[in-house]
Amino acid sequence: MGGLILCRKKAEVPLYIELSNINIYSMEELCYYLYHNIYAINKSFFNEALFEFLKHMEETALVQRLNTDILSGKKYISLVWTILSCVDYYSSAEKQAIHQELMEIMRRTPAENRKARADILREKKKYGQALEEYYAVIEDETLKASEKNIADAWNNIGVIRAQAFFYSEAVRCFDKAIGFQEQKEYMDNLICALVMGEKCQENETDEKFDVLKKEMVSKYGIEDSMIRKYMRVIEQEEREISFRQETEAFENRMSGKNKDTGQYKKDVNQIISEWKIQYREQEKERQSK
Amino acid sequence: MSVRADDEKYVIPLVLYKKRNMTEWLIGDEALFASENESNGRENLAEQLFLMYEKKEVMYIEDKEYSGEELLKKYILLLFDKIAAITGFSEAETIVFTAEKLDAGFVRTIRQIYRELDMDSRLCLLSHTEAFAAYVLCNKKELWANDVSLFFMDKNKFFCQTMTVRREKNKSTVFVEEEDLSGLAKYTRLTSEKLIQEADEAFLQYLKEDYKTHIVSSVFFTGIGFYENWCKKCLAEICRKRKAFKGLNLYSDGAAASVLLEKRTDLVLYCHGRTLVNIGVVRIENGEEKDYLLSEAGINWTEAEKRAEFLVDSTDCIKLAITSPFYPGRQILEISLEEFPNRRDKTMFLEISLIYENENNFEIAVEDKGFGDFYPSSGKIIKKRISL
Repeated sequence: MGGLILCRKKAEVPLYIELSNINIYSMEELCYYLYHNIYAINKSFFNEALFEFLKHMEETALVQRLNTDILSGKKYISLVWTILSCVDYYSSAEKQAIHQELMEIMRRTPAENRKARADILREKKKYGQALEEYYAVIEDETLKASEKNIADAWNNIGVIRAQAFFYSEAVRCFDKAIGFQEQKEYMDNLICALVMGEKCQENETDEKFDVLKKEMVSKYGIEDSMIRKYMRVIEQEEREISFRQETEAFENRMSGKNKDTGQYKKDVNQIISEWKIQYREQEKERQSK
Repeated sequence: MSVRADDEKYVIPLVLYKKRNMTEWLIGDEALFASENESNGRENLAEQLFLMYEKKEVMYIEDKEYSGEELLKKYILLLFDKIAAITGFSEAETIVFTAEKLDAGFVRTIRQIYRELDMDSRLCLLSHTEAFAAYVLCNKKELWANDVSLFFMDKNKFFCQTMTVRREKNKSTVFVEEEDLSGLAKYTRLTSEKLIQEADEAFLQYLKEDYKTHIVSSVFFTGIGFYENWCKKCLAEICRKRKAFKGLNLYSDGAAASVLLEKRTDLVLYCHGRTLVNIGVVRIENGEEKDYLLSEAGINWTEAEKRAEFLVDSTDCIKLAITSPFYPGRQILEISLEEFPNRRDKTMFLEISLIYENENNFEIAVEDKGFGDFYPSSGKIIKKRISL
């Protein structure tokens, strides 16, 4: 049955979620955030700021329940469920479905959950934090990651590196992924990284990359015809990308056409700042390894 | 409290006078006195301020234009100064304004003046009818054991208001109905003994017929039309079995009494100045439709403003439920959400506001408030005016 739902109180001082750079002003928004970012939530979410927010929202009973849950050692997924079940935002049917999903998450291994969290961070372009999670999956033995988990983690690290134009490192990551599990996706990514790396060398030759390429070609028996095929696919994709709206929007931002100088400089500076942040995050992570 | 020591004068004439070639203004009796004693004083005297305000008239005083609203504001500001000087108090817990008619414009003006005074007191606005009812209900019960009548006469009007109390188990419902009697007599026509007698006789016949239909415990006379005792026969008839009272302070006394009446949770008043219906927003709670009350019937319409926020869940319209305490059934009014962004999955807050313009008309405003940082507000507001 559709209709209007009466809202609870709104907070004057919101709860700030650093992970998503978002302010939460109501219990409804909190429920929405929890459900749509479930894989990004971990124990650290249930901090003092959250409890202050809940107290300000006069959710005394909820605070008591959460405290009880924490003292009895319940996992953070249970805490999420406590909040979602106490707030009249989701319907009974929706809550049932959410509960099943949460149980599914609880059945997953810690490694699977961390990988899922890393994937969300990557989607949100929090590359530094995503890399941290992926490396945890690979290196933290207590997580008991399966070979599949590790392979996926290496693959996704490779994707992040490739997006930052670090093609040599991307190739190495895809190579490691294949080492754990032979999957077509990893091989595709590896070949693409080789192709893209070579394209980037049009003006400047990188001997190390050439050596790497020869190594991979030899290791995996990659034929020239296959490389040419991927090259054609990539070029086709590049053409399509140029027609896409986001590309147009990006080009508009970078273009000084029909724009006053002040606005043009502002747009360009903003893009450069965004790149700098992404680069710094990745570089920090790269150097720590 | 009387405005004159050792006297019983509670009425301050609604007149304003600007002293010739000076910046000083006077109100009330002082204004009248000054206008009579200064040369060409009448030119600087503003009378019937409320009427001027209602009709949006202007007046020229010493070649400067003043609107009815400006003059009324000046009067009220000076009135507060005068009260402070007489009583020695500059603050009160509650200040009550009562006027024959309250409309949105008048309420806004009074509230604006009140803000300019920067006082902490609570402000209440009442109709004269509410003040009358408050006066009676705060008096001894024997006065309102049965119906109570009020007769008001001035240069422009002659009417009767009848207050009836319907007693139920836990609460009593009070109704005040009005009847225009200007056909019986007019104050401006009471100019000769013959005309007075005719008016008295006509009024008496009316009363006799009226008293066949209901029992009246007490009768009040107010307004300048009853200052002189022109209706002697009527008074004799009234006083045979009822208590009768006369005076010009009924409304101001009633306004003061209304503060006490608020504490009476066992009484609900329906009259001019009070809301007529319950207005609710149909909402979903635990899978069931329920009404969220925005406004209840029987409350002062100037205090009936309310706002509430709702989430939109799989619906394209808002439903308002209007019910009357006197008639069965429920009327549903729908307001479409077509003009709002297409988010019906509990990611759009709507603020619904109810503001009365008078007891018969109100406006509903629906505003898109977005959904926090997730979805910004479109800024869209839909307004719908409803006449009852």
